[in-house]
Amino acid sequence: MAAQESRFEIAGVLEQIPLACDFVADVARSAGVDERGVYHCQLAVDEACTNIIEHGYGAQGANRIIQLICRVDNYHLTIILLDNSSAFDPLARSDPDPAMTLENRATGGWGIYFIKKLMDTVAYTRDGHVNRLTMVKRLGQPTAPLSSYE
Amino acid sequence: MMNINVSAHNNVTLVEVSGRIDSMNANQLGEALSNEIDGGHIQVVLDLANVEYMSSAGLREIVSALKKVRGRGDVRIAQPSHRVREVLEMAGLDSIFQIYPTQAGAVGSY
Repeated sequence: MAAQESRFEIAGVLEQIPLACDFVADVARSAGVDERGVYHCQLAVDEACTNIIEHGYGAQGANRIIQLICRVDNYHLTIILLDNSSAFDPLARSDPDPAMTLENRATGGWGIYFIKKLMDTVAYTRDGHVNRLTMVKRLGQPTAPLSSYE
Repeated sequence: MMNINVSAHNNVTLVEVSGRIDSMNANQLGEALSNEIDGGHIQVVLDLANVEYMSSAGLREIVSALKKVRGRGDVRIAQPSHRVREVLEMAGLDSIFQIYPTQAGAVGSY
């Protein structure tokens, strides 16, 4: 099937992140992603938007936007986030260590770590003045739990 | 939307949270926990049974609370939902927090 594309925008404020999550959840469900996978996509988008707002836009977020583009083909759900804050590659930072003790745990970096764990592939590019974060979820297979609990 | 209900059970403070914990409201959870700990309530059970969604912002607050109380008390987690459990394990917090399948078990563990 030809890729289907959906677009959405939110203002760069935390209050609008649930709207972005709802948008992605709708697209994911329509693409046949199971509920665990839908949750993974929502959480990944939440973490990515939070990073853009807190570290990119800061107090100017109300006047800025985050653009979301979702593309669905036979094999993948691709979620792209675009923002025009300063160039920042969130993937360049080393991951925090989940095995670290409480006393030595890193406070930051967990959002990006989650994105990498939740999505099948994650990539960053800088296009002119725009940061582009591309996250991909493979379709057609049950979403494996990240927890041993299930 | 997030709701927090705090109650006392003998020497244990039960903090029941419901709804969604994300970057917008996680600080409220942090403040609630901090207020209890600052008030001397250092045996805390955090019941997450009705938390449908928790992002890393929420984890940051509960880790902060545990760091605040560690050495003289504890923050233990009761009956996390499957989604919350997944997030806790992804962050390696299942080996740092004591996690109980029931509220009674968590409260009774003190």
